[in-house]
Amino acid sequence: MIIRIILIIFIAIILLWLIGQGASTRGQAWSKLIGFTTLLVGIIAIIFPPITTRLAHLVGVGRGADLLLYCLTVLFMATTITQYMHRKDNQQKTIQLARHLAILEANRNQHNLNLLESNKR
Amino acid sequence: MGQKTVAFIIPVFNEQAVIVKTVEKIPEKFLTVCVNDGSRDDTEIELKRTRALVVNHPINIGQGAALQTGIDYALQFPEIGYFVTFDADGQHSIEDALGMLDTIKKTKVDIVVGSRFLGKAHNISLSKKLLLKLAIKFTNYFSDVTLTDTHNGLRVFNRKFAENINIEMPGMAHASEIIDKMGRGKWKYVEVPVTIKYDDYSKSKGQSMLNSINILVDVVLSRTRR
Repeated sequence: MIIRIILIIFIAIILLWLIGQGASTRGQAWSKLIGFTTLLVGIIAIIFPPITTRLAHLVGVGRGADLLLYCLTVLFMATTITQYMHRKDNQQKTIQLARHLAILEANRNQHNLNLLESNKR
Repeated sequence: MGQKTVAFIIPVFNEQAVIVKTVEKIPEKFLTVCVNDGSRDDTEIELKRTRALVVNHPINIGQGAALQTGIDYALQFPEIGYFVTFDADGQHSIEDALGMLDTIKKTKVDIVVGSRFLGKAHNISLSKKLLLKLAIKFTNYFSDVTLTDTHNGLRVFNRKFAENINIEMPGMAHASEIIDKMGRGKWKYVEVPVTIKYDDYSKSKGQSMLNSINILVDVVLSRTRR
């Protein structure tokens, strides 16, 4: 089936990209490990579709495709939550940066320096 | 001129029409710090005409962050013993602020907060009143303090509280956050009546009712994360 080849090519590209990233921290290493496993399971599922059906029966789901959909949903929710947390984290960093910059600038801004000078007199 | 011992902290966002007037109301013996929170109008230019010290956020990050920036900036001056947070739109009265300064000096509490429900709120709409009452119930329930008005921008506090405040909520949820910190740190506080003037300008600038949902979510999320 052509679709199998297309899917495997896509997954291979993602895999190669993941390898190219190079793990630098523990957290990244874990997410990479999970990523690799997911992709490998994906390839196996593409080549041997009956496996997903058998797995599905094992956990009480009718079809392999349904099981895949459930997994996808869970994965999607997990991704959304982690992305949200990353975004909040980045927002905090941006805020700290902006506030720091603002105070640095205020301490050398001529308007403020003039005012402080006239206050002293 | 002698040393200034009180700093007025005014977060400013898109207030070109009134900011000069608001600053002029503040007596010269006080240090006035305006934090321009990335305004998109001519606020920055208008502020240069005033005798307020100006801190410009390079981007808009929210009123809570602007307050914290103003406090951090004013803390650089060791002679400042008291901090007043004041709204830029002119809805607070300077007499109330002066009265609160008297109160904090006499009673030796750490924080004096203004309450519009102990005092008079002119021209407040019924829906806004109901929403505020709800916010008060909510904030009082979650924090260890009991106040009649939890979302008032007029506050006076001492240097010790200023050094410990560290507002983390960048947006409007900072009002609940400050009160929460008041309760946690076992700070001494007193609430005094203040008058809030709701004219057409401050009404148009005020918080939209929908934003209270954002605030609620922010506050609840921050509590679950702790």
